Amino acid sequence: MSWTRFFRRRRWDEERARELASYLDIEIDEQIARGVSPERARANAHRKLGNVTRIREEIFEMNTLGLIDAVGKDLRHGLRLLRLNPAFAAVALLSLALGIGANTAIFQLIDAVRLGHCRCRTPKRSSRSRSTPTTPAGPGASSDAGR
Amino acid sequence: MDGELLQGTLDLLILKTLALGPAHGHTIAHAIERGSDSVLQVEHGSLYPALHRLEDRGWIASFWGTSENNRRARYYRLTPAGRHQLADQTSRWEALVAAINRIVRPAPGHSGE
Repeated sequence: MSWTRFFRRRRWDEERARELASYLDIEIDEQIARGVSPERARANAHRKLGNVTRIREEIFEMNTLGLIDAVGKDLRHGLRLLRLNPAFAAVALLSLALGIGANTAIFQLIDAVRLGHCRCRTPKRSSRSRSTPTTPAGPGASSDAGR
Repeated sequence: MDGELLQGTLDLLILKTLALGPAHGHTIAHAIERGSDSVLQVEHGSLYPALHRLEDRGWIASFWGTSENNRRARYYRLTPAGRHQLADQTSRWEALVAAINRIVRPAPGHSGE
């Protein structure tokens, strides 16, 4: 098993619950065989095993991945709050939508006007050239030539 | 002695018990109690999270079977990795006991300073 046990924790919980029930059955059988009355046998078996719910919780916790669980809870909490206050949710959604829309519109405008599309056939082979003022031979000139 | 188990020793006891052959939780708990002349009172409930952890680490494997008195029970058996782990934990346990004994019962001549 690995982290995927997180998604099988409910199945594991059922499995462990059946296992604990099987423990109780066997213990009760043994106590009755020793001559204990059925009611007492049941009580004894439960006392011996301890709190079944707590044991199952402990195992369930072992199968829980903190991060996924926390994110899931946060998401559900957020959705519940939005549903609780639909007006606020609508305003928030609208401003987000307008904000994103405006951004896209402005980018498209700049893309068309300023960035444009390269019109040459082989943009890969194009290069940028720049003329530099010729400088008299000096300390920097030799190192520049080496590059 | 109140029979409270040291942290981590329950794993060792479970692995050792399963080295003798497959067993279900009820048998394991009673085997540990009987094997220690009832000095070690395993809280039977605490056994199951430990079994789950050991299975998760791949040291033991489980399957549903039928118990001696015809009850459905989940049996556990040691895996090869578990056998390796048992040898490992046994030697670590022996080293720990020896170290504590050296302090609690120093050999004559070595006591004092």
